Amino acid sequence: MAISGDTSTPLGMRAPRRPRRTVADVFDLRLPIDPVLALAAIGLSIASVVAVGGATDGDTGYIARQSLYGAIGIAIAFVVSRIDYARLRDLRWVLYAFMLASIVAVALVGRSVNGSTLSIQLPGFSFQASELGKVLLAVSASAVLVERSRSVDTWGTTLRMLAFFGLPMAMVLLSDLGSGLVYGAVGLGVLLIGGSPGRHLAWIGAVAVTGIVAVLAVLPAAGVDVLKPYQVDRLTAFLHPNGSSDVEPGQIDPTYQLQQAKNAIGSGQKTGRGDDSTQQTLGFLPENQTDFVFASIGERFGFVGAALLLSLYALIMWRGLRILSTARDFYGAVLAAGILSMLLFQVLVNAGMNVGIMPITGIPLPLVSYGGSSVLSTYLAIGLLQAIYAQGRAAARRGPTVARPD
Amino acid sequence: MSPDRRTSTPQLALRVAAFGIIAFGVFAVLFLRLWFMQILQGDQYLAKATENPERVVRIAAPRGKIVDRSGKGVLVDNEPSTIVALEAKAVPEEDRSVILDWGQRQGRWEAAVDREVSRRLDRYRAANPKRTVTEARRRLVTERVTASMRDRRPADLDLEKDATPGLRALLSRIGPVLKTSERKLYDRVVASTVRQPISNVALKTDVSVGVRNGLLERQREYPGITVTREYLRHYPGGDLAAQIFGNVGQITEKQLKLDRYAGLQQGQRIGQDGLEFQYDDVLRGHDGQQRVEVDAQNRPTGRVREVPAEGGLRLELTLDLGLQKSAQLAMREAIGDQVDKKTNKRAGGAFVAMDPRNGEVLAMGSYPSVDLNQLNGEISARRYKRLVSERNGAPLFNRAISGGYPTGSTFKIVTAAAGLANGVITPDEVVPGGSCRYFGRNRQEFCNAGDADLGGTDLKRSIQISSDVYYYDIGAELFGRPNQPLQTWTKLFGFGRETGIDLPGERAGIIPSRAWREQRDEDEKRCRKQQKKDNCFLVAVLGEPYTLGSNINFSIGQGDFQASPLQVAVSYAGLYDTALEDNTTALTGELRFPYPHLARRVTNSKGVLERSIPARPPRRVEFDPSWKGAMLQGLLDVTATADGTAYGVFHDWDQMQFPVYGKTGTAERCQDDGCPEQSWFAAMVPHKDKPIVVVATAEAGGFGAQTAAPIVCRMLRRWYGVPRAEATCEPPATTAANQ
Repeated sequence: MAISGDTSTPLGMRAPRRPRRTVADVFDLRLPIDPVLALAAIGLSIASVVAVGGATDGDTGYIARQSLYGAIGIAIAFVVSRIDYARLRDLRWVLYAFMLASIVAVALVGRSVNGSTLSIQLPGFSFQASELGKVLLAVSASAVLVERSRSVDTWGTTLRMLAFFGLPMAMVLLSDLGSGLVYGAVGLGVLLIGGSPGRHLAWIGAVAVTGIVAVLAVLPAAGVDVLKPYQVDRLTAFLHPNGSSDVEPGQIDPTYQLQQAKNAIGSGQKTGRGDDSTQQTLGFLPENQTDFVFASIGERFGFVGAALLLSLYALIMWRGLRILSTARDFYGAVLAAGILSMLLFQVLVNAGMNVGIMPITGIPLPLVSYGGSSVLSTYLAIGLLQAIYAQGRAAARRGPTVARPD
Repeated sequence: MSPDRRTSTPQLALRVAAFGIIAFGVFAVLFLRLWFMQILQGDQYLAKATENPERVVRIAAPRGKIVDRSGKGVLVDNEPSTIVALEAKAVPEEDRSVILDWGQRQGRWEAAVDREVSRRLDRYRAANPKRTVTEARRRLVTERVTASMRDRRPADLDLEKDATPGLRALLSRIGPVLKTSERKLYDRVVASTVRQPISNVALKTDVSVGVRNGLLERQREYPGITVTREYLRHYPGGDLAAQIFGNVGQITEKQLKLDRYAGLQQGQRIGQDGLEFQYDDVLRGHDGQQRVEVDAQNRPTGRVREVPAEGGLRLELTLDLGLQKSAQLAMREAIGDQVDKKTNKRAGGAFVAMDPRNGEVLAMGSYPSVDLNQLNGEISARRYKRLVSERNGAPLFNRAISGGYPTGSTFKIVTAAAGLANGVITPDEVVPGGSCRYFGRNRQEFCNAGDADLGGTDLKRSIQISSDVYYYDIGAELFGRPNQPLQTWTKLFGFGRETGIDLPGERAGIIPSRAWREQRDEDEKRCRKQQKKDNCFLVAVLGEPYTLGSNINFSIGQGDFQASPLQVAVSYAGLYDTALEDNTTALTGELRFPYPHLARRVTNSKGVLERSIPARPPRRVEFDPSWKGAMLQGLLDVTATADGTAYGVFHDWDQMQFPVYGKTGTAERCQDDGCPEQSWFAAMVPHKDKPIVVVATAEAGGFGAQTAAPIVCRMLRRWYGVPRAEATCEPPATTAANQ
């Protein structure tokens, strides 16, 4: 008996009934793959290796590691894409607990970089729990929401969901503002496709906007610093590109960083400066293989390169939305929404920051920014999208399961 | 709600569509922003990105050399030197004000010491009327006064007490690198700031290549410290003509705004005075630029674009190095370290030698002089002040053009010319002798020097023996004539206006007249009113009229009359006539007053002519040849005949070959009897190839023949290469009655 199928399927909608569970039910190598999605992801990985190579002046260490992350990521995505994602619903609380535990573990024993504790040192790999957490949150939150899908239009469900993703979000926010916001984006994506009423979403939006304004502007003015002043500076630097904020000694002026990133992108013009790039080779572009890798590409390859990169993301979004709408079941659709929301938000904030229209946060550009945790987690998400695609295609081949009993 | 894709509700489709629209919006915004930045504004960003990583280092251009008229005698050249400097803006404002305040207090204290020294020397002189006050005596008194007033002296600035922590930290960081103690560095900051409040402080000149490279590589660790290669002025002649060159210093904020310095950058060194100022555009050259590509940490990457510096052009002066040297030596030997009783400071003097044909200045100097290399080196504020102080004779003050003196009997040629031109005298008319004359209602008495009765004199003889009464008569007669003829002729001879020499700081001098007195009274009144003082001391007695007596005093170059040695030289050059060279042609009917100038030509560094600086044609004044002839004969008799006032000095001079048309002068600068007079001598030698006009004066030199004439004689001896044995140029041992 399909355990999970029965528990969550609303009345009158039977899951395909199978006499016995085999390995093939969970892991099927013959399932199809969305080639466009796969190529877009691999394209981004190639772009990543090129960009990181350029940004680090051809440092083979960086190139090799980023290539390795890409390769492992592709392998993970491939394996995950063969899995029937629906089985993950059963693990929702396990995954949720693991996510919380890993975040706490990082906070307790993690390595401190630039004042924030973001990662935990594993043998040969620095594990950034918040990166994996994004995907785990999408998996678990969509499972929980689908579980309560019948009462989705009640405030009870909405509040429960808010609490569900609000907890890890708050925990991450403490050390890493950007990742925390990504958790919020995942939650909102799940709520949107999961069917929360529009007015609930409107309320959430209103509260969020009020909260942001309060934290960034009203409370500091009133003398209550929720964030440290330098954090506020980083977040608001893009609003006053020319005025320098008070920079504490030892801190880099965020306005300066931003200006250098914009100079880098702008100077790329149509086709880029190639090896004549000075912003990145001379070190004016900060964090040019991670947070500001987009600026690095913009300088080297110009509008052509940057637009091509954005197109690959757009391609992923398009395929993702297609996968969402052709998902085999509601869980697949909501999960896809959570993942797409995560990717879209990251691209928006990171690329937006690089071009000076978004605040400075440490959000990596999915698949392109240097860093194992981010690349592997994103490939995990891509793998899940592929799995949803595969199951959807497989179900379509089998035909409708509702009108016709097996 | 359906878990199945086949039955997805319209609501879900709507939400997917909403999601899609959001995604589309996100990408649209990003694409548009990219388009805007890279395609539309790309040029601007590219400009910013390329200017970003360049550090522009100024490459100082060597200033042009200054050489003498032969082109071989170098007067000013350059010494390349690597200078580690503290930027002016790196000196904290608080330190600057502390230092400037200290400088002011120090100045006040020094003035108090000077006053006290003056008082004691006067007392000493009163007690020992026979003995002359020497520099050694004065030094002794100064030492005593300094010791007695030590407690009132402002304490030297101390690094620990007076420097701000910021400055101290900076100096303690750079100190070990330069191998100089912080204390010494602080002293340099003080010395430089006192002298030039807003300019970079040279902490150390001539640092080694290793130190230089070390500092350049770790520039971030030493904020406010710059390492530059500069060319420092070097003066091979030491104190030779020290007053005419002027110093070179960093351009000030005020100067940066002037049209004259358009296009110059902060830190540029320009001529601040003297020839360096006058010919700055010639000498300056063009600084080069080194554009060093740097990374974000401001470390040079090794890529360098260079615009080479273009050295300044060489300025060839009209000065004759040998003549200049001999003149300064003669001055030093004649004046020594005498103290001028009028001022209680070191006595000074000045000389000018000029080509009467074109105004080329062959020698010019002011005594005492100072070794410019000493002033330019690393020198403490106190020592610098002492060297250039008035007490030390103000050695940077160019008395030859800026001194204002009564010129005594050397002025008589002007009075004679005015008398001749106005018909008061004729060349041959003999004026009765007598030791004194009485003028005006009060029968005011005017006498010859030493009340001597020189007998009846015509014009020639009046010059030869320097009769005063002859000129008193002229001055008295001219006072009653309309249009102040004496003043007019004084002006025609070039007094009371700048000679137009190519040096800044020239003084026009004073031609006393009724209008001038009134103007001076008005100035005094205005000054009192404006500054709310009881007395500005511009005038001794307010409302004193210009009287007959004033004009009579003026007629022998006394009274309020003031002129510079250069003006005297110009007035004598006016008498030069080409006819004198061969004695065959007739004298011309005009006086030709040349415009003196120091610069002759501009050449490149290899001596190839770039442009010559043409002499202005002389100013011409119509003058009867017979008048001129008589005056010239008188001047020649001064040195060539036994009765002449300067015959003693020139008794063994070869007058056939080098006839000296000279005139002694003795100017009274103070009323009391013990006060030495100012000695003057002006000479003109109309030699065929090397005509020359020489003027010398010694502030406390006594009679003209006593000090000034021997100096002029020695200069002429040098100029014509006369062996020492054939011209002793010794002052007369016995006769003191000459004037």
